[in-house]
Amino acid sequence: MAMPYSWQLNAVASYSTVLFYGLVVTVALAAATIVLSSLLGVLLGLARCRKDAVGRVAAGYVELFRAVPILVMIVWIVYAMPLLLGFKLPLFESAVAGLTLCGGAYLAEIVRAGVQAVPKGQVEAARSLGIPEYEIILSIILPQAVSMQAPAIAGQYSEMLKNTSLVSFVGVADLFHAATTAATITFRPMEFYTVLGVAYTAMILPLSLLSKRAETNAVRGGK
Amino acid sequence: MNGLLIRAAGAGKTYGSREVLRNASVSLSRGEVLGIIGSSGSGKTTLLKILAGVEKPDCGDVAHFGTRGLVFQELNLWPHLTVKENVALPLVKALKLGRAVAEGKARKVLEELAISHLAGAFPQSLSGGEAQRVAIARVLALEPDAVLLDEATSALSQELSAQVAETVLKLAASGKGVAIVSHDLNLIAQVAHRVIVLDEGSIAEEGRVHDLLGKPSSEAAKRLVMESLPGSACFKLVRSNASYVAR
Repeated sequence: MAMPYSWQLNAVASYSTVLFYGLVVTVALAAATIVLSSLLGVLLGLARCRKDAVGRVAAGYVELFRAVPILVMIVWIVYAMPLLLGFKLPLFESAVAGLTLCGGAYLAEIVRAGVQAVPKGQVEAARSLGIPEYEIILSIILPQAVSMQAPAIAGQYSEMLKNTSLVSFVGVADLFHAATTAATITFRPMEFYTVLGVAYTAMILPLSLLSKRAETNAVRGGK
Repeated sequence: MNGLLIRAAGAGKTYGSREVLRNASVSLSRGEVLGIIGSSGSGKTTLLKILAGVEKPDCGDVAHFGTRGLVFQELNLWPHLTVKENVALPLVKALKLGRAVAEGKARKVLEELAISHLAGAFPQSLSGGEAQRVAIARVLALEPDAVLLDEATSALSQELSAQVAETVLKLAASGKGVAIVSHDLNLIAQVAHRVIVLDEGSIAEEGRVHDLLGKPSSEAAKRLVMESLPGSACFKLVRSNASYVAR
């Protein structure tokens, strides 16, 4: 029979400042990754729809960076890139770069699917009315593509937030790193990892709700 | 030619292995309504798109001497924008008008087409006839020299179709050139000055509307005229020509 576990949450309370700083780093990582991945994803997604060399390069990028595990990418940027390319990014920026390069590839596929779902006739009509190509993309294609794909995009943002925990492996002091360190010092892993689970859930929940709402709106808009 | 807006000479178009248009020579001038008729798949829409400059012909030349606006058969309204935004967007993005000016102009065109009450509605909530008028409004707001309409009355009731006919005649009277593709020979009989009959990608016949519909000489034109409903404006034209009816 299992022994009853004696929870000692005061151990967590005594490390609340460390955990709070970790939380700030995690939120900053997630925010930077989401913003930069979105930009990269839109550019790559639009490029993927082209049938020329640009489209093929974008397709190659997407295939490559979806195949590489994010952790491998982060480790490569932190340890291999300085040796091969001769310059070293600060740790936080390296982590953001790794998360963004991979996250952008996933978002690119979501954006591509959205762009290709916009009926060609709408673009043809816009061209016939003299609207410039970049305005067609900004005013007609992207708003519809993003709206149609909002649930998938919100889901990908949740993934990105969870993936930030990988950066602790290279020593970025994020929430996971802070909790792991504190658990090791206090020998109270149960408390810290439970709090960690609750903290990530609390951060993901708004994104999930946003995703649900986006899904409802997309269904309504499609009627 | 004076007032010439569009001139296509020997235009041809092939999609894959299918030649949809062959050696089409067509012109459109100011103040003129050109009807383009033909059975399904005869190349009407392709010809209209080439005249509009939306499609490039594979062979032949097309010269434009003014601005053009094409109303697509599928209408192609932008579903994420309201009716007013659909009409105002090209004014802002293509003509670079200020938003307030563009919206004012959009409202005016919507009023002219009796759909100003739909300004805030989204396209998916419109009836076929309403959507068709929004698509027409979107083109008219740009004040093009030539207006090209692809099956502009296909989703309209007789009453609304008559309104479109009236609009077309007004446009021509104001000096615009109008090219209209339609299955509705009554509409063509009411508004067109000149008619082109397409048959399997080639121009089978061309002439003034009364001559052509009243006394068609090509088999394609005869077929189309005979298919039109008895009692219609087109049928009256046919009946007025005894020699043709006798055949």
